[in-house]
Amino acid sequence: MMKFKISVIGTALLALCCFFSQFIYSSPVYAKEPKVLMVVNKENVEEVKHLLPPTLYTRVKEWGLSFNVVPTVSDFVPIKEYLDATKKYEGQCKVGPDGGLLNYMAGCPFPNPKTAQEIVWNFHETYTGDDRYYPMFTGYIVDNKGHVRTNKSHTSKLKYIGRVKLPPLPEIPNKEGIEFKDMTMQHFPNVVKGLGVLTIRYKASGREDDMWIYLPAMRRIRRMSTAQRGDTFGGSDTTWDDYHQYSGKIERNTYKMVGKQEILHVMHAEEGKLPNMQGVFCQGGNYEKVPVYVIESTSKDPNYVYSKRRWYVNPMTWNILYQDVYDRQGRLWKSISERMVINGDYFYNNCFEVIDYQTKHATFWCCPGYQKDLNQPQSDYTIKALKAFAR
Amino acid sequence: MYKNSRLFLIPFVMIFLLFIQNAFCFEALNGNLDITGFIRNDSAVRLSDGQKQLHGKDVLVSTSDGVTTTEAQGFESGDYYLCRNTLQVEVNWSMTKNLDVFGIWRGFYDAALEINRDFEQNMIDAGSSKEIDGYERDHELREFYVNLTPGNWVFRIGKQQIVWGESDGFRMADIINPLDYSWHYFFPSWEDIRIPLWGVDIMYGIPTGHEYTFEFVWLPGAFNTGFQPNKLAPTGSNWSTGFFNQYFHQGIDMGLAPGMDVMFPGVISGATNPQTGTLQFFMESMEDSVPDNSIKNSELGMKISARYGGFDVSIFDFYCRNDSPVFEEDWFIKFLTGVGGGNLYDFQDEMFQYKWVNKIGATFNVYESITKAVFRGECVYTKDEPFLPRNPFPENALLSFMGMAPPQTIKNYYKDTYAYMLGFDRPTMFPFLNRARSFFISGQIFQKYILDFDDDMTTMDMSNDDVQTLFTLLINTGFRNDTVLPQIFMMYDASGEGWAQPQVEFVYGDYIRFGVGANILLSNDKKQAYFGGMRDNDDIYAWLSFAW
Repeated sequence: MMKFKISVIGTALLALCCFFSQFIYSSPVYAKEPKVLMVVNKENVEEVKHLLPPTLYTRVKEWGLSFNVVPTVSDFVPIKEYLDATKKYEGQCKVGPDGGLLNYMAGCPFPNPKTAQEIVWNFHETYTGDDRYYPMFTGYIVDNKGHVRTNKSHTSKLKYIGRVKLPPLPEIPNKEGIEFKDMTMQHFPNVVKGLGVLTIRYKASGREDDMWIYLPAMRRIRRMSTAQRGDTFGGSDTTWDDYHQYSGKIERNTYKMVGKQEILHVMHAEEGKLPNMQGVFCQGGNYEKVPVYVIESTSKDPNYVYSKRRWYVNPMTWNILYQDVYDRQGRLWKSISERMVINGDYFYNNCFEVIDYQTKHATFWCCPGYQKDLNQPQSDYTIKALKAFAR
Repeated sequence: MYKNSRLFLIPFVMIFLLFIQNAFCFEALNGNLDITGFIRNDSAVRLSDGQKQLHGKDVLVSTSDGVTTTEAQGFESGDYYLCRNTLQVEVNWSMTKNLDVFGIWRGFYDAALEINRDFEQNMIDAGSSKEIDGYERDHELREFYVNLTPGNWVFRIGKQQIVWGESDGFRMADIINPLDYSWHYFFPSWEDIRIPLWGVDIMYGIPTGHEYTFEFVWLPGAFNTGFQPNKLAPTGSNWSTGFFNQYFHQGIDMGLAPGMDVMFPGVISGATNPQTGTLQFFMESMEDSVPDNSIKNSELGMKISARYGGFDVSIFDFYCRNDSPVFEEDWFIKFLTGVGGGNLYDFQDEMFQYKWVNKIGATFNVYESITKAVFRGECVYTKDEPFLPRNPFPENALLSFMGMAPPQTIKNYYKDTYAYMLGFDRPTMFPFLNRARSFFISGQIFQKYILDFDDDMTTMDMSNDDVQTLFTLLINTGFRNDTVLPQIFMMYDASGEGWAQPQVEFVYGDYIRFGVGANILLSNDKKQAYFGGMRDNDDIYAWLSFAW
């Protein structure tokens, strides 16, 4: 009887240790807190209204978001290889008549952009690694009652052009004219476990992506239509094109320069720290005042899911920090915002928030553990690999 | 002692419940151990009575006590005939970057036979039982394989599902694993009813250029891993196909086998109620005729895939045994000349044969940018596919049975067949219906040709024509951030058969899904094909699952 009691107690303790280990594992790394210049809330938001995209203003004024304003730290300088490539190929890039990028080799295509299109190509070619890997890309899908569903995946990308660090430079030779390959594998929930998507993007402006999906329920690979890029996936508020603010082909849109301004934005989120999700928005954060180009993007496809997007592009990183998205009737629909982590000569987004203002629904994609320049083999980005990784 | 034994379960249940919400517990192990699974209930209720007449005649049934009645035994409208509870546990252990071990254990219990004891009696009356083939309850190591991926190679060794092809809903290149038709015909997800087989699947892929991939499949017939045909429902159960009773009855009705109902009264009359399905005798014969485990019974397959200018193409060859058996051509001779002393039951294992066939085929898919549709297709050419004769007995069967003529062989038919499928997938936005998600619309046309068709042959899954044409249409979408998932799948065979499967699934949280659907079957009374004997098996079904 004594032995039985010991085994029950011991097993219970073991189970509790395992349960609580999730909190230890996911505890954030706390950095030194910066000096707080101002705490923005609904009482004083009018003072900074001119620094807020309209949807961010709405969240403060009507939803109760509050955040800190901290000193701006402009500490990002791309890696030397990227800067060297920019200098080496400066002046040779052009935007073609169909909006495509001509003569691009590597680096920043337009260090001194003059048009919205050039800025957008800078965004597309900003340096995030010759390959990159997000080992645990977790989506928290929150409805207007606060119920949360989870979607976990890992995602990786291999660049074929614009390579600056990993040989072969500046591109992996191939006859197909591949720009990059992207692989995403889902882990949770159970019904999508093993679901994988392989995307191949081509340099040629008129050539659509090739996409394949491995469906565990069918145990086979299916070719996908790129007409699905306007679809949301996994029950989230994010379309395939919304990934990383915009992951579609640049040539599919027209662009208009609205102007330049400054906005408040999270530029130095704590690496690995999950945001404080409060209903359908993330509470808190340290916001810095940063310059942005404001660009309007309109799809050339009249049947596209969005009528337009308004992008706020930061010239230090050339990343789209924030965007407002409008539905086909021209009504404000969503905002997509990235909480940046800048770490020396690279940056990534720690969490990007997709908020649907019409249904009060949101998805927060948290992306800790970002890795780049791993020298991933091409064989990890094939249809065979899609099948091999899956069950 | 009994009380203490139950208390022992408590800590294990606690561990189980805590682990299922925190898979991180297993990351501390050497590698990455992932344990997932689900608990699920599938329930179904009939919408129609079972067939009471066949070919316009009252059905005669012999019950187990020898009484012959004109009342149909079997299933009726409103019968809750399926209450299947499944527990499935999946383990994936990533031992290293290139080595994974994967396993699925599954157990199930169908409570319908306990809820309604008449169902069990139906089976007993038809000569089978709920214990046959684990119909009521079973558990198994469903899949277990090692996945080794060094460089450009993939070695998958163990019990697995291997799926080829581009088709939905019907099999053409997806021919390696048999299917379990026993509990809900082929309506459930094929991942759940495909029967995994022990085998070796080797792939070598060249990652550049045209991405050539070479695949070799070996299903050894030895080591208790032998050939398995499709699993049919036991006689007297709701989804027993009724093929053999209709096959024999058709022959008798058409005068092809005069007197056979007299010659085999117990056997034939017991099969005249299509509701009680296939003659159990023939079911057992088919099972007994399955080839022995032997390396010489290995099935082999090869496939070469590549990408050319936007097209994904493949060619394949699969040398295997046909899943549908045909008679041994001298079965009647053996019966009459005393093999087993003239007792039909003594040579059940020599009555049927599963013939070797060679299936050569090709598949393709391509994305077309103007229509924004994916087009796909496949074709299979089968050399000498075996078919049964329309008359299961020799022409002089009655005379030879009476000793007035020497017994003769029957003649199976071996015909080359050609089948193809063309299909399209087109996600389409209808913003006025659903502005956030497209409607996935997928259509297919299948055709199968029997070359040099002979009017004296019959088929098990066609309508006795030399060409079969059928169309399918699938439409699905997602509402409310994919928490409401409606879908409809429809099939129409040009011979007059059809099937519609509307369903809607609901998602609650990360773990719970439930749904409801229906199977509406249409069948031309003169034709058999996929649904002939089951055209009154319309049902509504529901499922509830908790998956972690």
